[in-house]
Amino acid sequence: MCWPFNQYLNLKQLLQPLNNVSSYLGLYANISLFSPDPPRYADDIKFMVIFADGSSSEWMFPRDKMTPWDSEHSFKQYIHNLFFWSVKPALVAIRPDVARFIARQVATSDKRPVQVDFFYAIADVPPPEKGIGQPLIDPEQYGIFYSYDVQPGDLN
Amino acid sequence: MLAKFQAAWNKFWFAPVSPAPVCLFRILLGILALVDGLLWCPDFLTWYGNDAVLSYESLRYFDNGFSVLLLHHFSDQQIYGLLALYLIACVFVIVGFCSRTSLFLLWLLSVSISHRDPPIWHQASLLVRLYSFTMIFAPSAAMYSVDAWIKKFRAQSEKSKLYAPFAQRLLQFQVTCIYWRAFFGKIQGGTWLNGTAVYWTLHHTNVVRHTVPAFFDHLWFYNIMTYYTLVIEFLMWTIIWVPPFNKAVLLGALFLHGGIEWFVNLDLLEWAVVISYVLFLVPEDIERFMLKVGRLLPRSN
Repeated sequence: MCWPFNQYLNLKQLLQPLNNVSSYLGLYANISLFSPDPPRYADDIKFMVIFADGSSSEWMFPRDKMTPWDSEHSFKQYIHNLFFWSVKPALVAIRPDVARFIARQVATSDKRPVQVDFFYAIADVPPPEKGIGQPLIDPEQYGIFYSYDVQPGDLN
Repeated sequence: MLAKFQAAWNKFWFAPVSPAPVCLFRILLGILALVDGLLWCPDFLTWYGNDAVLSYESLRYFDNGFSVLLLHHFSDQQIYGLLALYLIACVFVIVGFCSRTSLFLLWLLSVSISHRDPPIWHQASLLVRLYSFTMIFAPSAAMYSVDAWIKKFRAQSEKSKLYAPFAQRLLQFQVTCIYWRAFFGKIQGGTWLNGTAVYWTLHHTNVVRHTVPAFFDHLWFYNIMTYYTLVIEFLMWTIIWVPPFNKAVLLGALFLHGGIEWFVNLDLLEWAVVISYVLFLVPEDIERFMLKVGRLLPRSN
């Protein structure tokens, strides 16, 4: 269940075993959106695949193709979270999984992916005195933050 | 003094009440779970199949990476079969057929599927798991259900239509804890206290669904909405327990979540929270409402 005590009354250690069990059984919900403060930035992630013939193309989220009317759905957010909640070592460790998944998705008999690059862009939201009345910012300056060399065995 | 407390405690958890709120909540929970399940359908295997984004090997990095139903032994067809079973359980929960078993199945499948891909943070699914487990212990099939209809048909209608509301109270308590957590999380942040948090939220393009109309795009609007959010989140774990005022609080919270749903894309989270409000309503109001709904339905005779 949602139980705020562990954080606010320093009972975290005491309740940890209970939290682990309840979390495993789906009985623990730590919903604390936009707290303690909402993000003061906007960011985005893109995936580029380079093929053996030298060509490249952007990989789109599967949901974007299947239900274009709901492209902002959380399934896109999933990938996003996967990378940017990277304080958790587990989420860093599974980046190769995502790269391999993308490689398998785009591979065809005549086009073999050799590299998957993850691009990231971030832009600061201006403070209220500058941002009110202005259009929302869109992050535009993308830079590579992870690159994976596709191995032949990855495509099986 | 102790006797008074004990009496109040017993009354709160066990004094028999009408099951109408949990019965209506069962229907809404089923609908929520069904919509949530249908949203997974197009690319379910992308996230939960054998060839999913997250490999089985990488599950070792997560505490919750061991599936209750041992999904790693399942073929993709069987995993889709589990989703189909989940959807059938949702329909059974909605119509109230084998309700307790269906709720258990709903919880079990939802939990097990979530273990296949622990990093997915899908709040509606999370609340479905939370609600469905507690609902297993509620008399949720006593009204508005096929189970109740079958009982009546067999002339086995229950002697008393009142039940101890401990499961309903647990659900209410969970909902208030959500707001408690949200409130205390926010008051630690500077932007919630200086009144600009809603500005930052509605300018975080990752989640914005609709931009703020020019008429409202002023600092006063963001200030009001920020403090309004804090007040409602405070009232939702305090005044919500006081019957004469709880309807007004629920109305205020409904307005808050309606606004969030319009401006911000948080999947089905707002719906998942709002459906729980029926648990706080007076049973007589729900019975009157359901009677009116019943009159609208076509009749065979």
